[in-house]
Amino acid sequence: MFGRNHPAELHSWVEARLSDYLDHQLPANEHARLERHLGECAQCRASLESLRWTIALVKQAPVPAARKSFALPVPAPRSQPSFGFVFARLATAMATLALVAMIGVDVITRLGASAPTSVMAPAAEKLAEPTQAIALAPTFASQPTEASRVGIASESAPSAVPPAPAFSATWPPAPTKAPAPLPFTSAVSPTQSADSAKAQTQPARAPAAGSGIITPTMVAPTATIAPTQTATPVPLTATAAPTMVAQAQREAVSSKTTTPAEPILSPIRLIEIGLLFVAVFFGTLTILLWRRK
Amino acid sequence: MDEQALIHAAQHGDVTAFNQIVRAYQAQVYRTAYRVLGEPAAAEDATQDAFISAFKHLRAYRGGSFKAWLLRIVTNACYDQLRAKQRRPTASLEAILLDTDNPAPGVDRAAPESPQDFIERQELGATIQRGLGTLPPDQRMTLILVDIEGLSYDEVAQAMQTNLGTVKSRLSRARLALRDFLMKQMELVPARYRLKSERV
Repeated sequence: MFGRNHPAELHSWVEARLSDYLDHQLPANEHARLERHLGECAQCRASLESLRWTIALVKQAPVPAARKSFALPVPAPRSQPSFGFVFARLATAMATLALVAMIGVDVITRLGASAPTSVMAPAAEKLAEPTQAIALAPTFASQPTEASRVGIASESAPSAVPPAPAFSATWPPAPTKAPAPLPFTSAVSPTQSADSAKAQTQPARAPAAGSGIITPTMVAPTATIAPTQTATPVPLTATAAPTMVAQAQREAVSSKTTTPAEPILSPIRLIEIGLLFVAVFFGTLTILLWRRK
Repeated sequence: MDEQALIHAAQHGDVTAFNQIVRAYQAQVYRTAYRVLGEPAAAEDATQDAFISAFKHLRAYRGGSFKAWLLRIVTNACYDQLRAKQRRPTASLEAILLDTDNPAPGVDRAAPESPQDFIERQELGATIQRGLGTLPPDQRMTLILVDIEGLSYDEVAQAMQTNLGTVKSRLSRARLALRDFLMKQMELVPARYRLKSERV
């Protein structure tokens, strides 16, 4: 490398290594040869001196100081929540839970109440039929036309109303479901003969000329029977009373099947509204306390 | 608590421990950023960004010279600032750097020196800062880290993510270029700081 003959190339080679020479970064052989050249070359010595001066000058430059601290903000530790906040939050949770539970109970109760009503309706109708038969049977028996026109009655009775034997077969109805006919059963026993029934109702027989015809409408449990009773000037005897009792019983049974009208604000509804207000109040209080914190 | 313990604690999210590291290095980091950028506000931004980035990526530190690791982040932050400055150059930078009547804010005035000395030092600082501004960023950073901050070649290589040969090469060229600049601008250098052969 020192075999270069051109002085410019030699100076360039030396200058490129002056920095490493100052920092003692040159290999030993290059370091020795460079020092030997510096001893011989004033230009390279001046170059070395100017470089050393530059480095010293840079180190003497004024030191700027930071105007502020660069420390990162330390996150503040979480403060303990106040008693009021904890209480309000707990109260909100409790009131909400109670409200949900109350609504759940309410819904389940309503669902449970509506399902049996629909099932019971036909059953109630079924129960009413024997009662009606009970009511009608003495009437038929009391009609003189029915007794005199046995042929007509015997032909129509089986198709319109169950005859006495048939009625007896179904008797007695479930006493718990239809207890009303009990007083009447003493007057008209299923086992009572048609003659004895006719003897009991004999005085009321004559004016009921038109009512002896048994039609299917008479069997109908509602208004069809009522005209028959009003048209017949029969005093309220044992024959009429069972009919009205049976009707009252039917009404009672039918009133059982319909859902009773509930008041608008039932107690459970009032409790629900109260719980709702409590939950909203404490929820708002919790939010306010949380924001203030 | 020693530095490694503080680093370990900071790696697990201890901001207080990290702030102790910040207080130990913030002067050097700011000084480096200021030398590279030549503007106090930009240097403050770069320093703050560097410490935030260091805290975020502290888990990536796997040992070795922490100063070099930190200065690598500072270097990147300075490069970001330089790129941002190139996109929106400011006319006031030159005025700030060369206004010796109003020295750069934060310059240490605590040294016991006369007003004349203080002014001359400010002039010298402005001249050197201007000379540093003529260097390419890589050479500038290398010269600052070695000649001003006193880092070893290995630390500079680590900080600048390069090899030793490149560091030597950059440093040599930076020194020679700054020398040439100062020789040409010798009249801007206060008399008592001039090269002996140049003094009148």
